[in-house]
Amino acid sequence: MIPEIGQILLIVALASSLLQFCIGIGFYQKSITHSGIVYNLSAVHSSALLVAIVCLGYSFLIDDFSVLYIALNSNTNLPNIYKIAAIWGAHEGSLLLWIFLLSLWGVLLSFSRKFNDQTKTLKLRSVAIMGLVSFCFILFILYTSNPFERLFPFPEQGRSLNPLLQDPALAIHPPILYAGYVGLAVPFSLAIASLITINDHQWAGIARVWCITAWLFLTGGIALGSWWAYYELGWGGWWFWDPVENASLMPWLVATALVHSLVVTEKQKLFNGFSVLLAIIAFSLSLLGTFLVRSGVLISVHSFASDPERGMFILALIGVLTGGALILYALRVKKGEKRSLEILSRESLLLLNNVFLCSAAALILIGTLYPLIIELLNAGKISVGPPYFNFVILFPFLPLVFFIGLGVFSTWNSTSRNMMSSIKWVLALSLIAGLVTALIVFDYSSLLTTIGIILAFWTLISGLSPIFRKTFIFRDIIKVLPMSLAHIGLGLTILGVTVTSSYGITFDESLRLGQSTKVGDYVFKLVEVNDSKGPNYDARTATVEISLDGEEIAIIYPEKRIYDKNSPSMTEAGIESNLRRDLFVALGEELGGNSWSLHLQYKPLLRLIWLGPFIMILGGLVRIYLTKPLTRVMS
Amino acid sequence: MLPRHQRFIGLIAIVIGVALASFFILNSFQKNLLYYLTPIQVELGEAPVNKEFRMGGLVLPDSFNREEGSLIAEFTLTDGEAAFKVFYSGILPDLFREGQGIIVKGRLDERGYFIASEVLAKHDENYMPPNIKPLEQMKEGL
Repeated sequence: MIPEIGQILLIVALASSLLQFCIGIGFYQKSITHSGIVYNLSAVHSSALLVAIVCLGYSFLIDDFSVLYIALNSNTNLPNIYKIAAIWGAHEGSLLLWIFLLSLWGVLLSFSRKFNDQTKTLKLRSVAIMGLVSFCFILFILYTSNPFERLFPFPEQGRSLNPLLQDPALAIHPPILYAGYVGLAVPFSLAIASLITINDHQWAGIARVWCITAWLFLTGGIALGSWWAYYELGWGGWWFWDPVENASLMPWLVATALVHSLVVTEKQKLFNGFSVLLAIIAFSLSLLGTFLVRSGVLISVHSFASDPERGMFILALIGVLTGGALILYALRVKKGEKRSLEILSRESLLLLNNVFLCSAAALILIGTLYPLIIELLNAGKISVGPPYFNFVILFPFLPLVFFIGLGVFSTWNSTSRNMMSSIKWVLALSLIAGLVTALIVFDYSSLLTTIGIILAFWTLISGLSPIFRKTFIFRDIIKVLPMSLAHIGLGLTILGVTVTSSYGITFDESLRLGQSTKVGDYVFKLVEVNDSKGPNYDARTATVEISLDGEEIAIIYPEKRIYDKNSPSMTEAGIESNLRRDLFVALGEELGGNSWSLHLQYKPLLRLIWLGPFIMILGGLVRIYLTKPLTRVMS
Repeated sequence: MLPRHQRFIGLIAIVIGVALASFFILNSFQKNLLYYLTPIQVELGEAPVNKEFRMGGLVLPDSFNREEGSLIAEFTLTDGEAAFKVFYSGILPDLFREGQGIIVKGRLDERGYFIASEVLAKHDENYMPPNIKPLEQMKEGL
């Protein structure tokens, strides 16, 4: 009974989102007298989806295996918290969550008070576009991936949730990442609505806050995913250039460009067309991400689900939404004022860096899609390896990072006179800090590493400098704080990535019980391996002692877990970490003769890779919750 | 210098920069393409020379061997039509077992053995590498 209610609610949501679009876009009446109805419809369709998710969750909790999706993804032994997380553990449910979050953004937009008399048509039309996107994807769920489909005869016991997914970080990773993906639908809708209504820069100021919010979720989602991959996928990598990771990085790069471009459009009334285009591309890349993950067209560790029909449907949706948006763009876009640009003015530097960000996204896109295209052409099966990405990403990134530092000191409309004098000091400081780190703290590794470390400090120090340059007036600091934090976060991430990749040590080794081996300066000793028991798994636990200069600093316990006799074991790594370095041990197989294979790692400054995004997020939060309200109060 | 000249020099610099970048990018692209082949294709000589490639297949039952205490594993990878002996030094993925579909990355040595630098098994027990049939069907074919 409950699943049927969920099913009916999906249909209610479908109908109301369609109405939301049709009335909102003005098919019924051109004027905006019916806007209240449209906003309420968006609330109706979102609540219907919410209750549908609750229905699914309830069916999970009572172990209703007559529902196919639940029989496939849950069983009675699963802890309750993971029964809830199992809602988005596979394709159908995760898509339901995706759409619900989309509709929630629509509701927030509907009841936003940031619109004035001039922009209320913009608001109505953008809510209509949100309705259209929702409609398309609810149709997709009902047509190809209904989570409420019944199974008859139904089994006594369900299949287990993939044990990889039974992890707190992964339980919250998809909702956060999805919130970011679908959040980009708001700037998209505002851009489209702007094209069909007032068609000027006014949408930019509104879209900016939404874009930053979506960007925050994307940043958090990507960082969480990378962290999860590091400790859970077993082998201590934190980025694999897997198609699914690329699918989240591309919208992030373009959304980052969009955030910066919107500033220029809002404040200088420039680059309106470019901002609109970026908004369209950012959301299209989110859709492409959904397609890549869900169609199973790629050989990827992430494709738990695959179905060609779904792939075709999503591809068609991307075609309609993106294609439609681009045609509209081509027909309607009005170029902003023509103005000659000063080469070192803030707007030129921002434009330049947005181009670099987009090039980075394009290079990743080529590497991700090329194997697909070759396969479609029947020209064989290939894949593009991580070395490609690691190498080509440097071309846009090195200049990008250099210009980020310059941009901080630039001013609108003109080449700043003070620029050179401030830059001198920052440049000198970054050079000293970078060279000391690259040559003295660590040993010289390569020119590229040294440049990378110097550029990391360059970003970091130039990000910090506006805070100190201003004469400690609270109002000035609060204005530059978001940018500062975001750039400091980026600098830390670059530092972490460069140092870890250049100075990290990774190898496999066979150790007898009682034997030890050296990883950098650290000595790892395999003490014993015992059987143990967890709440829903059996495990084999190794005890590894780590010492430095003869002094014991930690004991860690890497494990091999078996959740279910029929499925393979899971590797749970042992990690000892602080801000300076990570020490990592994963337990391999028993090799006979009391020896075991172990995967050992020493990774200096690894934590910075996740600390960086955290500080970037902090910057975004300050922008939304402090800077904006406070500057309004103070002016 | 006249502004016109400045612009001209700037333009040339951009063109040269873009050309150089494209050259390096394309070059790296070409170098880092990994071909995926099945054992029969490798036997027919389609494998690239002096370059790593990927080979998919099933781990032949009863072919796995490893000396006591050694990291070096040895097994046979087959698609039912051809088979290659594979050597790999390191930890095998959790999903590695006999009869399982896997992908190995590496190159052939002069003896015709496949020296793997990476062994990939998917997080799905029923996973089949592209163009590889399950074991039961393979036996019918043999």
